[in-house]
Amino acid sequence: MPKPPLTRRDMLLKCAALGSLSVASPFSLADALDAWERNAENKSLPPTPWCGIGPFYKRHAPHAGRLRAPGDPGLPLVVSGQVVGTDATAIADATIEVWQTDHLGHYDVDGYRYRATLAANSSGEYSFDSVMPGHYPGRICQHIHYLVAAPGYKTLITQLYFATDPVFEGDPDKNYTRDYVITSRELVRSVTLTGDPKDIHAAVSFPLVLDRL
Amino acid sequence: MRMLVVTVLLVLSLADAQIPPPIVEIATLSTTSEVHDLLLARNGKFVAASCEDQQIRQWSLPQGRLLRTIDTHGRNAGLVLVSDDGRLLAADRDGTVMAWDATDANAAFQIKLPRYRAAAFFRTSPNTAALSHSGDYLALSALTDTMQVVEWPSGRSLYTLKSPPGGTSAVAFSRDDSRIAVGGTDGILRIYDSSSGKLVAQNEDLLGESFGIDFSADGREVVAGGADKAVIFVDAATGKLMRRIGPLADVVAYLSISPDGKHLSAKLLHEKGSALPAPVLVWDTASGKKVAEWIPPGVALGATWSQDGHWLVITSTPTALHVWRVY
Repeated sequence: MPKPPLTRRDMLLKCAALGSLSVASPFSLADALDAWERNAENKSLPPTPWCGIGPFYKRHAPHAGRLRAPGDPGLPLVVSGQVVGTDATAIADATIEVWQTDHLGHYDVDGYRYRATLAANSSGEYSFDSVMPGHYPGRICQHIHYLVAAPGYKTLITQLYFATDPVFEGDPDKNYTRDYVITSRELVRSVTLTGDPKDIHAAVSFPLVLDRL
Repeated sequence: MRMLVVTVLLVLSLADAQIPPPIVEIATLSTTSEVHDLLLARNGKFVAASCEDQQIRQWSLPQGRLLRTIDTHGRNAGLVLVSDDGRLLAADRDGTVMAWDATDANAAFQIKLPRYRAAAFFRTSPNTAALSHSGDYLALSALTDTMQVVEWPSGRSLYTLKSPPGGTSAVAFSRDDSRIAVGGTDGILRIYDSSSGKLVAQNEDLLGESFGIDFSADGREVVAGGADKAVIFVDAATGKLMRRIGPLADVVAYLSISPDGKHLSAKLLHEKGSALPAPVLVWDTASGKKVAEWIPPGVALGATWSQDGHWLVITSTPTALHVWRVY
């Protein structure tokens, strides 16, 4: 019986497994394959799912990509990504506000610890250096809040979640609905651990897709 | 001689101080199911709770008599509003808002909003809907860039108010129903003409979200407070900051001016989690002087002023709701 032909995705996965295709950070293999397929089929990107703003947004967060101060406890975390439109065009003038708890799950409502306003670069890329947030007592999952604005695009309010969150018990596909605030599996991102055991840190890719006004 | 002088001074200072009345439990309401959300009518005559068994229960106060039980038919409905005449409003996580008239167990109308604040946050923000004092208009604060004002009982949408992209968290009508004050998730307080929906004034003195909002009895000022751990008094005509109370120990979850306008009360939210007890406070409105403060034995689930001018606070235990007269 003849084998069915490989799909483009299967073929690309095979190439990646054999080493003939590699993906540069900050994109995951899955993100890169999605992008390749969309380009090949001329499909538009779905906008990043909305997820509620939460009660502790604060205006005028400082313009700083480093939220983690030297000596801060907690697992160091770098989050990066690219802000694009649904046509995959990079959005160079996007403003990204992020806020989160410290590693123990406490929001700073008196000041601006773990809050920042970021500007995407000319390629729409952004990144910030923080710590893995703790579990806020009023919520189920660890999360980082986003408010993303760019001229000509609808403002995006969403939250980033982590596939390593103990709440998911290693299976976010099955268990992401344990936190009813999570509106989409897409918001739960895989975590890459790098460094040596004495200086380990986590990296997460979170691309942001904005809808046109 | 020195002892006598100290004693006399102490007696004089005690006589001069305003001693708040003792805090007493005035009613105990039995519950057969764990209470998720709870609200009191603005006049203190009704209390309603959405419970673990997906029923909404409504009692009269101060008698504590169970008036009705409404089956939400499997919906995870969080309470949004109890009106002075006993009407109820609840919302599901999917954005469906359900309204019941005072005596009917069948929903009077339903509205589907794109997004409504998730049930877990009602405890932090019991002001996400307001009924006009005439009882005819309902303002629904939601997590979208528009806010709905609808007619009761038809449920017909009258107009929408433009909101920040994150939505709004608190809303109140002035006592003459001519103005609507709205706290945005962007921290900006906006005051609208309620007949036209036009923006009259706004204030940007708070950086975080307002969860508590109300008008002074004469409608000239708006009081607001929230994540900034402060209460601000704003001129309702110009949006200008008039004065501020704070910093407070915690985030303000609810604010209410007494029927006679002489007192302002607040329920605070513990910043480390809504399940932790936090103080309730009463100030003299004119002077801003604190006249009562109490940390309840559990989380203050609901609070309001009674018609006879007492500040009521409700806490819960697994089998009962406890109604306290705090001031």
